[in-house]
Amino acid sequence: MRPISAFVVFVAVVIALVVVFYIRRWRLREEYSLLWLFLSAALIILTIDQGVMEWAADRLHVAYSPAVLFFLALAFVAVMLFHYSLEISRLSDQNKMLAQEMSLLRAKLETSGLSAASPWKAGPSKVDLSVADDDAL
Amino acid sequence: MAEDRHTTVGPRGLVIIPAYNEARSLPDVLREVRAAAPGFDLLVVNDGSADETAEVVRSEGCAVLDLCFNLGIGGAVQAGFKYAVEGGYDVAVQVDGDGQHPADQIGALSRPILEEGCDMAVGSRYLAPERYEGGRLRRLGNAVLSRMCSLLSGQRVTDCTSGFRAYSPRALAYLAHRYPADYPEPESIVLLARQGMRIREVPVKMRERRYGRSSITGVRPLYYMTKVGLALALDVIKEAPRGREGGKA
Repeated sequence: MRPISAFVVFVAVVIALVVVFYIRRWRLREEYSLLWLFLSAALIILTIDQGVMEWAADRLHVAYSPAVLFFLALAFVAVMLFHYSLEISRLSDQNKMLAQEMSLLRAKLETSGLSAASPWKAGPSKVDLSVADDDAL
Repeated sequence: MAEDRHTTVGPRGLVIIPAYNEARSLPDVLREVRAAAPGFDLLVVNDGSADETAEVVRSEGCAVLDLCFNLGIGGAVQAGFKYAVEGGYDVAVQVDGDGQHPADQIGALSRPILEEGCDMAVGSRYLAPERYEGGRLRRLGNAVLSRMCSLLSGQRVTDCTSGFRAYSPRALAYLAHRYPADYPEPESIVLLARQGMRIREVPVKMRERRYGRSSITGVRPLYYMTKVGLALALDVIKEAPRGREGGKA
């Protein structure tokens, strides 16, 4: 095995380990964990069996077989980024709706006389402050 | 929401005032609006202000929507639209919290909605006999975008960036569902027109703001013009909503 191959396999294994670490911590959703594990597996296969790349380059009439790999890698990155753009758009939309819905609910609570001060204003409310002062004395 | 005076017959109106750090100018604005439009309910949308905006509004005894973080003008005004829809108002007028918009013309702005069957009335600075000045780039940007809005909406638009507006229940229901996040004014004209709604401009005279500064200064009008122009062009290819919102995109 050439040194570069050994290095790539090492990187792929590290990726897989990092992914497993975050899965165990419940911090990576299944769809993403499978994707990254698949990427790591693909890296290892393509490094160990160079024939796959050469076969693909031959079929696509590409003289320089690593170019096929570069293309695939770029395509993967582009698709992932687009996917994240979609996800971010969706999340910010939902975030906005939640904030609006919450403000409407709070306004309703207030008109029915149940709530007063804004709970998310920085710092403790006035009631909390007086309690803290009593403790200090 | 419903106060005693609204149990009597007659149209119910709401004034929506989006406010971001406007604690200094709000008391005057609220006073003016109350004096000029006594039949209207007032709603201030506090867009995650860091100053005393929420306290000032509450001490004035005015309804307030407190957004827990800053959504920007689009998200704030849209929260007001949702409130207006839930409250079943016959007309809602949007007035800036910085005192730029003349409160005494709230009535003139709501007339096309209540009496002429229009869906949105826009207070235009460029229809009034005394023309609004402002920077040259600003005027150029507004002129270009207004041309675009006229073309894309098929209705005459001279001041597409004006945020002094009145809306019909139908327009409110649509915008509560779909409203652009930043610089929503020009886009909403095209979106409503594409729903077959009628838009009318009303000449108004606006004032210089007393506190704070416009967010669109220097060469920013050019950036704004390009960005909003592109967004307007994209609105043309957007599908009409199919009554689904918030699900997986």
